[in-house]
Amino acid sequence: MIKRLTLPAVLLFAAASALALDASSMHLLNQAWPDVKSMHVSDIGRGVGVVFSPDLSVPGNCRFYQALGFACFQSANWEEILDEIHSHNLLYPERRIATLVLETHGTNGNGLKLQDSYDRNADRSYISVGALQERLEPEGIYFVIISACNSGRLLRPDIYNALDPYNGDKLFLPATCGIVNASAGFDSVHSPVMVITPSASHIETTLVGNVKELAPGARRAILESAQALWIRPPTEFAISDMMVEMLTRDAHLELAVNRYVDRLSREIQPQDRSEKNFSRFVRYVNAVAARQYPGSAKPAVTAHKKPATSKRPAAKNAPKSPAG
Amino acid sequence: MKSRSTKLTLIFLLALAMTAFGCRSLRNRLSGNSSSDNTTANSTMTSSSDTTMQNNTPNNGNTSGVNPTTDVTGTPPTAGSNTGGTGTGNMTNNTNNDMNTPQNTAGTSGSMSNSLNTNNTSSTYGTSDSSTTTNSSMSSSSTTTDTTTNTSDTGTEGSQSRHHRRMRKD
Repeated sequence: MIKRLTLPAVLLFAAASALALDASSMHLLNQAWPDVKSMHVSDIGRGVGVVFSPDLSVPGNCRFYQALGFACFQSANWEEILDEIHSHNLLYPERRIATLVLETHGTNGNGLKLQDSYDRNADRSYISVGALQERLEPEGIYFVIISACNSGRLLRPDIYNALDPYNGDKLFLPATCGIVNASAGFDSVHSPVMVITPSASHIETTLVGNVKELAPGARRAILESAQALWIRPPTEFAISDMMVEMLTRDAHLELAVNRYVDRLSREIQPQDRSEKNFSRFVRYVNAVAARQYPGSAKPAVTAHKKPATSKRPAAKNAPKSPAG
Repeated sequence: MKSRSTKLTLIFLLALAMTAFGCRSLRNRLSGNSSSDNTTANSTMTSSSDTTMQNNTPNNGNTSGVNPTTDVTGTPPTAGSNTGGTGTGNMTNNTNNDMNTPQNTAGTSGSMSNSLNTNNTSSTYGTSDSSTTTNSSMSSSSTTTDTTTNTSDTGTEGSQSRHHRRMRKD
């Protein structure tokens, strides 16, 4: 009898712990990136900056993120990125960022790497987590979310403030644009900047998509947003699994703060999983666009499925949205 | 003797059939525009328009939705919308296509949808705004145009089986 009760009790306890972990991850994410139901496509990334390594990006990628309301920075030089962040928060107070998402390389957890390519002589630079905290605090950035491979290893105490350039890792290619380390006296324990990573280290991936894959309403919203910002409308974009999981508040997402991992992981999720994430992202942006243009989005969907009934709402909506 | 007359009759009938029907299909086949080839031509246009679309983007939101490269003689991008005002925009587009590529005369309806598809895929932002506006002015063919637009949109959106290029962040 006791044995019979023990098993459900253990299962219940495990489920409760998992739920608590999930809840804490969501709470953490909501702190860094409040879960506001965006009514405009151009508000999706408000208050959040994204840093892209050039080789993990596509032409016009930053314009895509800017059209979604993000602040986007892309360079192979960390010093340039830090300068651009400083300028952004200074010049655009209405679009200040407090959270930074790093779409960079993790170099097997040996340093946050930005690079133009894997060519040894290509522009390339590294930064330590401590240096990020030290440099971003004066800019008013209090949350750094690392979407890089084996990001948990970046927080190991021995490389936290100063990276080891002689770590022997093949991926640690020559730092042609330098290494940014924290200053000698930097105390990371008392830094208000929270460094958030996935709980489990693994290989992070990014997919390349085309704006044409979005619904007409979403494309229209992106076009208008780009025009308002005086930037060329984007055609392609790169979106990471982690970014989608954060945007859609995926229950599978598990985050940790200032917690390091020693083990190097080769785990990578299957392509199909990334494709599903991509589809979720498309649906997410389309849904926001549908909220932005409630009149114009409806007929496009209903006309395909029920041609007979679709004509009525279209006719009703037509006079209301002449510009549509 | 009889067999010779039969043969002659058969040859005559064959020649007649060739003049009536055969020449057109033969010509189309030679020029590579049979009904099955229409699809191929379409997809080729789409892929080429992909490339051009990136070149078009510097035009800062040019939503005309007409791809200059699809017109062999270099008809200006505004040609479609200009003819659209007369109410025979589709036909004029077809005429343009016929002038440039004679093989498109194979089927009128085929070339109509062909030209529409090209318009839809020609620009990233062309489908939603300007195309719809232009089409709404053509009352006679608006239904057909709407259907085509919807099909192309859902086709690109719902391509879950398609694998995107993936990059590792290690």
